Amino acid sequence: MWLSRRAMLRCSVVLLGVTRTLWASTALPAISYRDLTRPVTVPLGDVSERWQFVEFDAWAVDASGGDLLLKGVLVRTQLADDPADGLVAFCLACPHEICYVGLVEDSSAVELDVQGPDHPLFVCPCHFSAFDPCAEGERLGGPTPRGLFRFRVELAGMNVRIAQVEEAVLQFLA
Amino acid sequence: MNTRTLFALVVILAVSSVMATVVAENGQQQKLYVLSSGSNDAIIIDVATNEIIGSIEVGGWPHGVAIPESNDVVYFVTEADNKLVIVDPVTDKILGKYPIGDTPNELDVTPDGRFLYIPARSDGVYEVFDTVKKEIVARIPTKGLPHNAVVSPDGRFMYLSPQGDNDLIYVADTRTHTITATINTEHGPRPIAISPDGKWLYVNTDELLGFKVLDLEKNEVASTAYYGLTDKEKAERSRSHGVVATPDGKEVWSSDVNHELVFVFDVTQNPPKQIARFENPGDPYWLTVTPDGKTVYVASATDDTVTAYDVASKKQVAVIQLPRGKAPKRMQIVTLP
Repeated sequence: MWLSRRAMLRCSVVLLGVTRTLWASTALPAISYRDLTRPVTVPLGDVSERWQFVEFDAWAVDASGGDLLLKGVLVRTQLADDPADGLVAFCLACPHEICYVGLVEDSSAVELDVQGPDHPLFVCPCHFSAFDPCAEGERLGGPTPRGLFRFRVELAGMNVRIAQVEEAVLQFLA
Repeated sequence: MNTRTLFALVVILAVSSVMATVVAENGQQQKLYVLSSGSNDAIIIDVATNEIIGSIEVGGWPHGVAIPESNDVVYFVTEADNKLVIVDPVTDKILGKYPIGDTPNELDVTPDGRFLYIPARSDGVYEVFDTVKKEIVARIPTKGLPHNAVVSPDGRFMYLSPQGDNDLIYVADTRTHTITATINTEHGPRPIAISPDGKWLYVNTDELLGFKVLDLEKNEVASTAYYGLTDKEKAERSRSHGVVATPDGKEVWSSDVNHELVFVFDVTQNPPKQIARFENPGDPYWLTVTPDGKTVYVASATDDTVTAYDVASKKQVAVIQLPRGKAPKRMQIVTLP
């Protein structure tokens, strides 16, 4: 049986959609978050400008049941109509050897696996792993096995509320 | 400016000049070489004044420095271009560069200056470089990632500390360049330091905030020193990454990176007893001590600083700000001939 050109095109589009959905479901697994012991609140005005950031302490319970103090950073990566857009929060502990990363404006001296984006990056001072704050903290270079661990960020009136952290960090730092 | 002030200034200048001359004539000027892990140079600091007096461009990402007893040469290794760089400490000129293994790290040299043990991290070996023949004469494979080496004071043994998937300190005989023993540290060994009498090795390890004391006659762990931390500090994960023994053999200083603390232990007893702790400006990493044991220097890559502590009074005496982006780590002191 021969398919018409239009049917072929329709099948291809459907196949492409299915493939894309399958790829997304396998390549981008949903991130699992866990509640912090108590939420962290940051006034929205403290991160009103692009690249303004606030460091904070967040408490959680690690995978073995112990108290865990997580140093975090809330940063605004872009300005948008919705004040929640462009707000991201990460654990400062580098997933390589848990040194604390810092936001570096000029990362030209850092060796990256890819062409460096034209904006500040988080860089680990110990072994120079680099992370992109505009791409969920993903790894851009260095010995780190993954990107930065993330906090979930939400708006609560005129505050930013951080109440959950990526579950993987609780295992990693246990 | 009145006459009295002018006279005082002249006296100060004259005294300074005489002191500088005395230092030079006695040949006692000491330089602290600080490796810029994020750059391509070593910063030079005058130990007498704690001031930066220059720098040497040695090559990409210097990651190791060693000085023999003669103090007439300084050996650097550079991680980005895999070179051994030999420098004259009087002129700070480069005398030669030699190709070595991939990703060289913290090396050490036998006291007589004959052999360098150079960890080549990506090759999984320690290379033995003969400084007379100017060539590599042996390659010693280890588990993990070769990273640090420390020689015994008598030069008979080199202690090798590979990081990563390895829990062993390797003991190499410097006459045969072969491994004669291993010591299990239970977790991956990191920076190491040896006591001046050669009887004890102090080892930072993964999973430990403190250091282990290794008995080098029995080749086994004798005790463990734990940092004294508050409950809040214990809940914040950190790591130990810097250890040095004072020349009198009485104290060991060690760093706690994320808590920004430096600890001092009395090691005349086993297990060692904590006798001081300092809040360091920036995350402390590698440490070194002056040959007279008076000053300990602590490097902080996060703040681009080197902090000097007076050993006797246990006080911070200087914070030396390096140019931004240098990420200082390893350090060595040369006493000029």
